[in-house]
Amino acid sequence: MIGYTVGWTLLTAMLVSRIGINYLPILYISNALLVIVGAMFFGELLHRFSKTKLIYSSVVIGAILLATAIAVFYSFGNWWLFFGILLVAESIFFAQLNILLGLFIEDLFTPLESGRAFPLIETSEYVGGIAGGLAIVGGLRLHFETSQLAWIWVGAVALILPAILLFNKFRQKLPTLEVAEEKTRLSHFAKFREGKKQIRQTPFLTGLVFVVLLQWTLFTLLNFQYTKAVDANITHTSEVADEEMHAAADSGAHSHEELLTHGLGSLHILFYSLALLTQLFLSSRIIAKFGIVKTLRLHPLATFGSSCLLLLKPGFGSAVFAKGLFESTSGIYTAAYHSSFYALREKIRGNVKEFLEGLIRPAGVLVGTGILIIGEKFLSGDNFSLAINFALVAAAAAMSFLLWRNQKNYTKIPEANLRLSGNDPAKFQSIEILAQSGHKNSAEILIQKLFDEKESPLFRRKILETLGALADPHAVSAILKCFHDADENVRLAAVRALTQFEQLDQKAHAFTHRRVIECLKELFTKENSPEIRSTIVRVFANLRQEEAVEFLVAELQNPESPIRGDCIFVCGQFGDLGISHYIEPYLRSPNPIVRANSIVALWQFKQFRLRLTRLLADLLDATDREIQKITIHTLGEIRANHELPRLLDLLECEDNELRLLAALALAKLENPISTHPLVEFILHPNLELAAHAKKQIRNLPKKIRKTVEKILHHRLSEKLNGLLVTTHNRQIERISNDTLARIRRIYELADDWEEVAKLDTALAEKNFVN
Amino acid sequence: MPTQNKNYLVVPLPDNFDENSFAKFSSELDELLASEHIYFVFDLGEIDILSSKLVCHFENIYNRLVAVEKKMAFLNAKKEVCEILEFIGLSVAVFDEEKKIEEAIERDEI
Repeated sequence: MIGYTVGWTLLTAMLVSRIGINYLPILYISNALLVIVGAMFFGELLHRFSKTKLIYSSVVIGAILLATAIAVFYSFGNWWLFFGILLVAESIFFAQLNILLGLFIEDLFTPLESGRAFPLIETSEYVGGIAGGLAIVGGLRLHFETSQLAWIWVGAVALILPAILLFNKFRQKLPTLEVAEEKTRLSHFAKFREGKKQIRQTPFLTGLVFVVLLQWTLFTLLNFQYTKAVDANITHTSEVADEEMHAAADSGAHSHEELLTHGLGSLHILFYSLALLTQLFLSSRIIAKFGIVKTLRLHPLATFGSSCLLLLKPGFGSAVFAKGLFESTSGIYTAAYHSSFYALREKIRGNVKEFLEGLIRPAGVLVGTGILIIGEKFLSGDNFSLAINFALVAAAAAMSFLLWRNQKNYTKIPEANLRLSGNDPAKFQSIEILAQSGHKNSAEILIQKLFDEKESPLFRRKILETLGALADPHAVSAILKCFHDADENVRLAAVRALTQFEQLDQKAHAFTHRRVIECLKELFTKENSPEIRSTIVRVFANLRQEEAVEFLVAELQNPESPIRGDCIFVCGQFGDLGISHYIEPYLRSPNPIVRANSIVALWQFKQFRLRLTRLLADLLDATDREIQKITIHTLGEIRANHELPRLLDLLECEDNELRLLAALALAKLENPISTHPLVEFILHPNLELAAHAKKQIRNLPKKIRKTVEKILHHRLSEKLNGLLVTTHNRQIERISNDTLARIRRIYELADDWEEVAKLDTALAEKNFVN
Repeated sequence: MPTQNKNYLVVPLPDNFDENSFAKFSSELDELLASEHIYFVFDLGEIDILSSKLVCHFENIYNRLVAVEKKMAFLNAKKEVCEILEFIGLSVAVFDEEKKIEEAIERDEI
């Protein structure tokens, strides 16, 4: 962004000051045409090389071009050649670099993550913009000539390479496999045709084409008005030699070109600072609250308002205000715009983006420039300005209207993707897209799929997770139905979804509330999974603690209850000394599980610890393996640092189960020695043991959990790269089923569900063909 | 060998002492506990950590001493051991220097 700010400011200032403001449209046209040429050229290359390679190449070629331009200028003094090479570098290589970086960033996030991540990534653009502005102003103060400022551009561009290399080094993402059809080579025209076809088939995209067109028409018109206003202001101040002019002159700017560069650079600092604040404090909040399409509407609405002001009161102030508001809101718009691409299936995303960014965007610039040229030809002076301002108002209004109409169409894309068969990754992304704000009936759409018998448990879990995030009370009864699901993970996901509902104790949901309590009690009684039981209690606590206490005490007092041990454990989670009254009697229970859970529940109260230590010592004496297992678990639960040597000894024992329990207990003691053994257990060939280890990671202290995840990622990455090296291939279709199953396991352990889904689909298709 | 002093008896723990060697030590203790001393000070010098079982053993001795109106204290307990004693709630006086024991006995602080 530093490079872009310096580069575009230099190009504009050089052109305007050397041949006049009237030729600015020529710059826009040349830029737009070169962007189209670049898009065709890079579109072809994108099918032959990876995005990362193309990013590196465009940076290197762009930087070489810039350096050549400077060398040419100093050697031959040819200004036109210098300008031409800069324009080619900016419009072909750096414009494409921008698109490639967009696609590269898009691959790093999921739709929901993008709502938070993109605004933050956009801030880097503004920080770069401010730094670029400061570089221009600072360079002029140091008496740099305009041509010398191009070196800043070269330096900024060259920094992209180490930044990406560093990023790749620390990136926590496993390599992915490719599906053959994605590698199908298309010519650039065929690719644009394909993009056009996809757009025609998708009403949202048809709307988006016009929106992008209008956005860049607006940009061009507003940029012209703004540059003209700044130029006029500088000319005016030169004539009257006011204080600002002197200050600029003192700071080293002498010619009109340098004054204009200085003026534009200074205003860039102001705009980008405003935009940066907007991005930091408002953007992700706005996207989270209003959703993608409503957020997109904010930008044209703001532009409509500022354009009206420009129409009613034209001048330097209103032009700067309009440009400032445009820049501030375009960051929010851009973040939402990029997020909206997740709604499309991955394989068409690249084509559509190239079509919109490589063709429609420059077409928007051409339309804007066309309006400027026609206006200039038929109108003059104030009339011309008035016509441009009127065009701005009309374009902003049209853009707002189109986006208003496009909300429903946006919802239709994930809705259609949900109808895809199998575990298509697009279905998973669609669930996340429906979790975004702004959709009218997303809960209904998801509920319908939740009970589709053809859907996999993995898919249903993802839906339940999303219903939890939506926290729509109308989804409660559907979630409760999943309590009867045969799959334990689905039941757990259903209970977890309910933990997100915080408004159920309101009067308006009194009956739903009662029903939830009844179902939770029923599930708690029937359920064998301790994890589900523990989650049920968390929901109880969210809903109304009295209800939970009443239920737990009743179970404790029931001598026939099979869930007493769990109830005791759960009671301990309340942290209330009052529980001792109910639990103390169980310290004498003949059942070691009940006794151990009573120790865990009461350990938090100091007055009981000496007595509990005696009971613990008894358990430690036991030779029965089951009691040993319970005891090791207890040591972890009570954070028994005084038993560290015992746990370290157990970590060396032969028995896998005891060793895993010791590692988990040590992890709860936040002892880093536990991390490597835990990773080994997650990767263990005994799937039951591995599943238990993996499940327990979530309950570990944050620091240990992060370390385990980091080591696990490293190990999985090693394993996956090893497999890919052996297969010599990344195309799913060319990899044997056995290897695919092993790769699937790696993705499963890395929680990369989209890749798991992709492999499931591929494996199912292969089996079908075979 | 225990060091006999005017008012108290300092009992060193055997080399490589741990919870498994406590049974043997305990039987040797019976003789010592029968002596006329009121204060029994266990020198924990070599012990790095007090496991649950060790805590129970010491608590057991403590209770035996209390039953015959005698008192117990620890000497040279490491920081980690003191923390465990505090955490578990075994309220036994701990001294880092032997000379302080006499003063504490005089002030009836054990």
